[in-house]
Amino acid sequence: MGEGCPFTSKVEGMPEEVELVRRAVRREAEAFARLYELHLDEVFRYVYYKTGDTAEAEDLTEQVFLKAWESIDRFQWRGTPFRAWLLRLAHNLVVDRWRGRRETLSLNDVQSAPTPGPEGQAYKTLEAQELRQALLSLSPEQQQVLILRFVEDLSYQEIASIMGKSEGALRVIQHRALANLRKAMAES
Amino acid sequence: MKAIERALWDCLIEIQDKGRPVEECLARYPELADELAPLVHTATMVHQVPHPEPSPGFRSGASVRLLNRIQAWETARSSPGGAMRWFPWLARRRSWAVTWLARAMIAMICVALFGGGVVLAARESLPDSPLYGTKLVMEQVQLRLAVTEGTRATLLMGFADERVREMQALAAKGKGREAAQLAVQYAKDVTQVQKSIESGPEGNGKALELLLRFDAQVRRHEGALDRVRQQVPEEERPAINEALEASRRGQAKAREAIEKRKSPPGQEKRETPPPGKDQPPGQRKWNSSNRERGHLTVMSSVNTCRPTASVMLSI
Repeated sequence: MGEGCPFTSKVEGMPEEVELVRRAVRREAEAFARLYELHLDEVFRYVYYKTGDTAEAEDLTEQVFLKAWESIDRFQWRGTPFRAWLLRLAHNLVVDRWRGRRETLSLNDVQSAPTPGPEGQAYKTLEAQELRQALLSLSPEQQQVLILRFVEDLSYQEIASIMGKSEGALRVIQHRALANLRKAMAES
Repeated sequence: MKAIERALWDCLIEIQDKGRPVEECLARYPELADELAPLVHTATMVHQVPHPEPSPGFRSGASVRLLNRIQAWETARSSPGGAMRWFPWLARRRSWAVTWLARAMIAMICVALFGGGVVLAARESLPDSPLYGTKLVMEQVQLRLAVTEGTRATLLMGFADERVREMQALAAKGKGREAAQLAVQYAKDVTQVQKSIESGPEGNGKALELLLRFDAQVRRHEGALDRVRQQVPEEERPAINEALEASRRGQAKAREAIEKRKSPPGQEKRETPPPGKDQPPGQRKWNSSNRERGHLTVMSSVNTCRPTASVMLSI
């Protein structure tokens, strides 16, 4: 990464991951457990920003990987990384969970206090909570684009694949999302 | 397409994907700088926020816990001798409802045929027992068959009780690590109980009864968890602390809900309708003109799990 670049690149261990996925598709649980360790944080972050609740995010994260295990033998490389597949599963699971509870990620959540992390937890929740509060003012698609691009570091191609949108549509959504987020952060 | 959208897109690709300095990218669009710079800065800020991580208690033993759940799932999935041959029409179906109905029916038949001895043994098992996977599967079946949120809450309270019993037994056997791993599941069960009670469609009376039972239950658990914490090694105590914290949060929320339900009618809090749905003016905040209504795009191309119908037998 060049000097002055605020983004740090995440180097994917591609050869290792390809081999692990290959073994996991053959239902080797230990290989899948290693994939779990590699992608746990990514999935958790995504689900956390969708739910705002640490315990629920942890529960859903585990559910995502259990779902992934159930369908891993049908996984195929389609030009996007394994984590894109996981995040699609995570998205579907969050949508299903909310459909069941008739909850929507909405301005109402701004009113309620975010669930604090457990005692002694190391991660900094305050800034993440502030960001989530601001994200709540955006439409679901705008939230999705910002989380996938700037939290999860996915490429636009991967995001387009996950969201089923063209890159042209993503350009528009991204612009509106950042403009709205900036406005929300300024007003909070 | 607006020039600003294109410029923003190209800039962020250059900066985030190719590592170009921000100033270099902004310098290419001097006429858009005033509008472009704040947007790039916002994107940078989102990226640089310290993002949340799973708790230490969750992370420790996460793989082991997942492997246990995988084992339980595999046990439920495998067919140990063709019992489904008795019901080939069920084996051909793929719906979730039929799968779980099949499992429940077969479990009942097995209890009737074999006297339920194995089922009882599984019920009393601890995580270090081979039958523990069966126990977890049975709990999941019960949850799946729960028709109402109230029933679900009652089941979850029972599971929380069971987790505490298991933690006590493991701690007494000197298996502090295993007890700490259970504490994570306990914290989740307790959180889910509260949510199930609150979201249940039952009348106020039923919900109040459940809340009172839940309040009493977590009070009992607090003492038990405190004793477990004293028995486990120091390094396992954070997970027990988290379980205690979840228990206290659940109790606080239950008491708050109890007080609300005991309030005279007409004084209950009126729910704010979701935005965009007949919300009175003045309650909206800032972005009604930009908000896109509608649902998230559901990614129908993803293969969702459809486990084959199989026998839930672990005898």
